[in-house]
Amino acid sequence: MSQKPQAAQLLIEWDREWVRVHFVDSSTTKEGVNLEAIDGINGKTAILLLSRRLILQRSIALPDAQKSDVLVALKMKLVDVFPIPASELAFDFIPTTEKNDQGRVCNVFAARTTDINEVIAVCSKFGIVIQQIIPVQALTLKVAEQNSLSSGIFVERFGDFVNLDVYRYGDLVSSKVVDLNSLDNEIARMSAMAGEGSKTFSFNVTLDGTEQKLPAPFINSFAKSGLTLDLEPEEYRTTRDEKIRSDRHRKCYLLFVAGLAIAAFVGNDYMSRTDALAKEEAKYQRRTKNLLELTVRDESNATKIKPAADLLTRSFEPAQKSSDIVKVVSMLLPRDTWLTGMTFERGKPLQIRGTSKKTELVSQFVLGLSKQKRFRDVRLSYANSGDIGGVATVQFSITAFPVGNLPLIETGKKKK
Amino acid sequence: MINFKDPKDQTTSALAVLGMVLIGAAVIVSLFFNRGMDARTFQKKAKKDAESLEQRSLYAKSDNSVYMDAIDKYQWKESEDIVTPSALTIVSKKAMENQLSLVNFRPLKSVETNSMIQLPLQFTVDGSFAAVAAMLDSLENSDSRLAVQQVQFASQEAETDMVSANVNLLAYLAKPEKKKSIEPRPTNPAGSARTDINSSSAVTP
Repeated sequence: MSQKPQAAQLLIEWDREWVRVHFVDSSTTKEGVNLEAIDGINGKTAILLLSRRLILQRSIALPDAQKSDVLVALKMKLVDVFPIPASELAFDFIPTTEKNDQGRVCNVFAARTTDINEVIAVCSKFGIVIQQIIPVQALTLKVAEQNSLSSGIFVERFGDFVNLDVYRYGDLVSSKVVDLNSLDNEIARMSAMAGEGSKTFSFNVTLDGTEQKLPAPFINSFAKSGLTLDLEPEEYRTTRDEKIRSDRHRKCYLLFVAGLAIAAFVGNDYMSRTDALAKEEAKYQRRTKNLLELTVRDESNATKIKPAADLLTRSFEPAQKSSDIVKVVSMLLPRDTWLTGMTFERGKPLQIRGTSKKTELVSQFVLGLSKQKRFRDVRLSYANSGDIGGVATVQFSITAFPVGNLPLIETGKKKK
Repeated sequence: MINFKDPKDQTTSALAVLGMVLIGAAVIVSLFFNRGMDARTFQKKAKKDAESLEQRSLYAKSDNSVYMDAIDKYQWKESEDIVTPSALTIVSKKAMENQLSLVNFRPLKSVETNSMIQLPLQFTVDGSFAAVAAMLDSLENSDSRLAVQQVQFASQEAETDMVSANVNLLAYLAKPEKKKSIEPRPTNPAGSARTDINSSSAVTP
């Protein structure tokens, strides 16, 4: 979650007499005599490109080591390189691929801290936050490198001025801003410096016609340049870093406090809900216990008296009453047939004994009983021929089980 | 924001990490240990359980009521000494109503079941088949609290419908409640048993 620098919204090429601003989001470029003449820059982040007139530049060999170490060494050497005390300079370097006995050849850039502070103050008026300060000629250095240009001149219109960068055998030998009046002389001088066979690249400036025209100012090539050098003064960088650090710390504290507050809130909520749940559970336990006791008591009572109630119901509300059975049997009795005896007992088959004049009538009686849904297992036990007073008779016995004729026994658990 | 490499940032970074951990823990607790949801689930369960128990209780009460109705309706609350003559009265009355002659009436030995006492009663009536059938019908459809257990018909004479019917009835009697054991009387200070004033053994001064 380390903080990445926010991508700059503006590229500002700044000179005391002319300013060019490139809006990264819209890819548009505006120019003016100063920042006040340009709209839409307030409160934005910017990369500041210092004009050639504010930059001191030299190519020197530096130890091939870590950048921080090289910067220390460079600081010691600055007295010999530039005519201004090192304490008054902000400096940085771009290493080249060339090496010699003394080390790696580097393009060293420096600017007066007073100049940089002046620009920072101007930008601050517009609320512009500067992310990086680079010398503007570093852009052509990269362009030359990317185009494998050994010797040549970069010419760029900059308001009423012209930017000039001269390369010879890959080295940036001169970099300056000239007015239009002296352009021809300067171009001639620079061509001589670049040597024969040098190329000329120009933007918005017409020379002798041999030059190669560029579609956009060099400022537009910043995104591709990958420049990491920075001429920010130490105190500005420190102040900015401290501000960033302070912001970061504030966010950390806020995050901690927020986490603490949320955890406290959630913890408190959890505990109070747990308490409420425990109370609810206790209440439920009590209520359930009472209800269960009541239910068990009711069920126990019901279970206790059920066998007796069942027996009584079975005794007094049987599926078929004895009187009904007697009536049905007598109704089904065919003519010339008499009952001589009948036994009905709860839980047992019905026994019918009788006499008839004909066997067929006995059969009819048995069939009649069988067809009745009130009886099952209707069986003729016997049918014996006899003689009563000279009349032939048939004595019979039938058994049938009345449906639903249950024995009067108390069900349920037996007493031990 | 978090940078443990720079000693100046380590404390605040640690605090930020702690803050994030706290927030994460709070989110986890809120999502996975939701006591509010537990409470709601519990309330639903408790309500369901309570309803189930209430339903069970209601059914049990309803059954109880049905059983008690049956017991109240068909069981004799009186003792055997009262039930036997009452049954004789009922049987005799029914026999008379149906123009039957009550030949005999005999109470048999009572049987004690788990919850009741069954008192078997036996009687014999003579008369027409139809009259016996009518008496049975009358007995069974009245509130006599006498259940017909067995009926035996036997024809008396040929060419008539006169029968002799032997009927076994059952009367269900409530079991007498067990008397609580009588606690021994307290003794007087002298240790002798207390005597009634009217007792013949009371000693007069």
